Amino acid sequence: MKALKRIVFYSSLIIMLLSYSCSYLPSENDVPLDIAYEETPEYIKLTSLDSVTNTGLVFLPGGFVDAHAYVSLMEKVATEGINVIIMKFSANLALLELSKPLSVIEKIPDIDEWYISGHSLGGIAAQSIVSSNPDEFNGLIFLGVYPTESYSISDWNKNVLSIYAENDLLSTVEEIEDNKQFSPPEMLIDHLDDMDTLQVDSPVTIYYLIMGGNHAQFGDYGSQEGDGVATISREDQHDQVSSAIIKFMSHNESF
Amino acid sequence: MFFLFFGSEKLNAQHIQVSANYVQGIRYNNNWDLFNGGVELSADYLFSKNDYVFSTGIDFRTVQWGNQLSISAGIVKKVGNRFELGAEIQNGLALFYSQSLYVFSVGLKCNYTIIKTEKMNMGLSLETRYSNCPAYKAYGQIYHVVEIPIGLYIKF
Repeated sequence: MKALKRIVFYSSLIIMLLSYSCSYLPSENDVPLDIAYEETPEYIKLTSLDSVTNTGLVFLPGGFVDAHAYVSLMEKVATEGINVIIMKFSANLALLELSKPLSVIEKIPDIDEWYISGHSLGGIAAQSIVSSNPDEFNGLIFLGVYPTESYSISDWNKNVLSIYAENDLLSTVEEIEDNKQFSPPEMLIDHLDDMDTLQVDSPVTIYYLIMGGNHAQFGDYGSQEGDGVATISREDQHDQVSSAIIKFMSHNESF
Repeated sequence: MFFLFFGSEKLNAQHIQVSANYVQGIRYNNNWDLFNGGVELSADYLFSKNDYVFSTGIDFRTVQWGNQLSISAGIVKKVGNRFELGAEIQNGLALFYSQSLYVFSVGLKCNYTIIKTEKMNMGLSLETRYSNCPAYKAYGQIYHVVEIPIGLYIKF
């Protein structure tokens, strides 16, 4: 009887603890009218209705953030002809299914160049995937996250873009600075237009700081516990992030 | 509800069952497709009367809309020495900050006991289940699914 009580107690305790694993709910989404929108249980695909390139971006949402919270950001990228795949993961945790992005992009035809990006914990997952599969992607884009030593890509032979925000208290400016050694050498830009004329001899990590931005405004899911207060609008932050992504992907081969 | 019905009746046996399921998705909205539906952990209180076993419990699972916590009620009929056939309903919440969303499931299930001892039974379960999170359609296109949970249970 003692053993039985113990089993009931621990089973109930585990389930109750798991019940705290709430996700951030996105703003109510209307399907964008100016891009093609396709949703499956594995991903959300956004493509331009006008001109489609042979370039794709696979995006990994932040931990416990619903994938739909990134549609409003990524539709800006898709309108420029980039095929965007926003991944959906069990429990909204990319780290639980690291092989899934690779299996998904294998199923999508007509795309020759793939980039990978992630926000927060999704960025760590993206870094892990790149460190295990360095030839699969042409570039990596971090949003509000810093690289970790465990999956160091400091000797990767592709370029990295790191977009971070001044008021992000979950991936602070100091933490970004302290972990630069785990991705290719630093190149800081002050203005997005600097990417138009950038010339480099070897792979770099381009750092772009969004003044007044915060962690949650990389997506569209309200405020996040522990985050700083943004002094720019979410729309403004999305404009800067999407512009940086588009410039990086369009100029990456000519850097 | 079960306690109201059977509170004054003599029950044949009472058990606790813990189980873990892998959930294989087979249909979303109006599309047939195979997809990972997530995993599920549950703890149930069982009580039997004649050939019927009634259950009520708590379930946690990962699902298309994130994670969900629900309470369940079910009934199975013993068929032979090792088989049980029955049905289960779940009502619960898809877990989101600030506003969790109502979810419900209905399913038909089959249990097969592999190991049977005086103190413990262990077996496999197979279920066909329909789940729906009506309010989630404001956020995503996939808000109802048909799945096949395949699980291992231990009954004490």
